[in-house]
Amino acid sequence: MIRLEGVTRFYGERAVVDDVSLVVEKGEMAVVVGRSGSGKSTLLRMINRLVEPTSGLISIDGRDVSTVPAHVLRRGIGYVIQGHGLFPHRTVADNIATVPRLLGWPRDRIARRVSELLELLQLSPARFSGQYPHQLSGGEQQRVGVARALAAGPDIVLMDEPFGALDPIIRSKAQDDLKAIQARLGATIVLVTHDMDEAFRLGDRIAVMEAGRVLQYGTPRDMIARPADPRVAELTGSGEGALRLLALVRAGDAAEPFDASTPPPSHSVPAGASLREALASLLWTGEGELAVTGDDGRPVGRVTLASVLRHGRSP
Amino acid sequence: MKVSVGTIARLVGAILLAAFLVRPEAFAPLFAPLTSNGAPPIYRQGNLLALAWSHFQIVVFATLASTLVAVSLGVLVTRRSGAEFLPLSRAVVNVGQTFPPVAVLALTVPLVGFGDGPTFIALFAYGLLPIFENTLVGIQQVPAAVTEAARGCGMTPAQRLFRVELPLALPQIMTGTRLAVVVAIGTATIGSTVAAKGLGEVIIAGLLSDNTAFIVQGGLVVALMAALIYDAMLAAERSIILRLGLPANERE
Ligand SMILES: Nc1ncnc2c1ncn2[C@@H]1O[C@H](COP(=O)(O)OP(=O)(O)OP(=O)(O)O)[C@@H](O)[C@H]1O
Ligand SMILES: [Mg+2]
Repeated sequence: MIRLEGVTRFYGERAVVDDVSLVVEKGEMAVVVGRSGSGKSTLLRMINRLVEPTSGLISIDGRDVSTVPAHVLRRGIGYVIQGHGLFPHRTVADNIATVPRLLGWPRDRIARRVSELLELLQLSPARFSGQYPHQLSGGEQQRVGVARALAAGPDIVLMDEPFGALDPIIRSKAQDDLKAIQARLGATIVLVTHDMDEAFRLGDRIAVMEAGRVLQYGTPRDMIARPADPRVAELTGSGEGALRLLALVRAGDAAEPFDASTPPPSHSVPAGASLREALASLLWTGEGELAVTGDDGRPVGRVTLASVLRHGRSP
Repeated sequence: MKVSVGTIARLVGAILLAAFLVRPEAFAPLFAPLTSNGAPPIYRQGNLLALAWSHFQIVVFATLASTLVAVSLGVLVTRRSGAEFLPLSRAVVNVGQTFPPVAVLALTVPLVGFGDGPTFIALFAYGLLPIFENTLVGIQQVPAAVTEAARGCGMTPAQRLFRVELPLALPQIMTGTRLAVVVAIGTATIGSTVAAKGLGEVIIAGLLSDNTAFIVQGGLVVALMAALIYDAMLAAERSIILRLGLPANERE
């Protein structure tokens, strides 16, 4: 658990981060979102003491981070830097092995861990281990950056715009992968982005930052249903609130049992898809309802246009 | 491996140099036209190979010493706590350059006596500036994101220096060392005026006895040695730059 209390950072006369208090629960993904220059990176970097707060307190699992030697603290926290920051003179494998080496892991354990991570991030070990960062595409570099951050199995991972350099399609795939990886590793993640869609897609909780202040910190649903500030509503896009709400609900969770008296729907959506996708499909096909199919492709229920509309109504 | 004209030229140069140093008499007919009054065409007062070797040695030791000092200074002034020493360090390394080597020799002979000492000191002082400035550039051009990542991974300041900054600055430091070595090979010839063992002896003997053949062979050996060493060091730098995919440095 990460707790920030009244954290403030001045650069000269200006409070770049201004009196921020928030708690990230264990295993959660908190997303800090805001415009460029709003202080997101500075906030993130105070957690692993790359920047020291001017005032305020940051603790991890109840322990004040300022009492832990900075390099020891950082070895226990994964960090994905804005713009990957891979070591250009080291191979992909050596880059990923950085923290385990600093921690003095035995060689064979490091080697095993490196291939495991390469597989996890869908980079074939045979092809990539020996390559140098300049030989990779932007997306591959970023994945190596993520692998390096995860290498020593940290409980906490800080990610500064980890998907910044990816095109939209690979980006949404990378976001799904990150969700899956987090579910598997159970890590607590703080992720910074300026992309509101990414925030809604990934965040268990979202902190909306503006000019150094956190305007609101809450679940995606809270953000839409009860924006604490007109600026939050503006940032989350008030007009798109309904669609964002639909994007938060899985079709499987909204499915209703089949009605035996009506014929089964001719089109379907997977249970893992969102109601937003279901709506798109309803509009496209002109149907009034869709079958919801499980992992095995068998229908488990149905969603109707009426129920989708109900989920999107202002709460 | 493709064999270029350059490779062949280098090979020929190296073979010629080695052959001349080992069997100088074989080249006597070549140098004979440069002599008059039956003067010897080939320098015989000392063993050429031994002279070239001690010439080379003094250059290597002096450059190693200036590399050690200049890189340490460069590292010091790029630390946050050492930044204030930058102007002082610049002044110190510049003094070495502004003093003509002859003056350095003249000043140091009374202190350390005749022999290799004064030459060593002159070469050492001359090597500081290029190596220092290149170290500085090399360390400063390490991308901020990379040093930041090194901190973020939990490297201590010493680990950052030795595992990240210095390896990435290496090609640039080598550029400085290469410039220093080439200048030193030429400059070392004047060391012979204060009795340092080196190829300058041959040239000075030529001047004293008015024997052009000595002057030319001394000069040629020094020049060939400088060119070959320059070339080898450049190749080493290039291979590192290539491997790292660093932007090739254009400051040649
Ligand atoms: N070391 C520093 N010295 C002075 N000002 C700084 C420093 N670091 C950041 N700032 C300023 O603090 C403000 C917030 O910077 P920060 O990097 O936290 O923004 P950000 O929200 O991450 O922006 P972006 O989305 O562009 O990365 C900026 O105006 C920046 O100029
Ligand atoms: Mg930032």
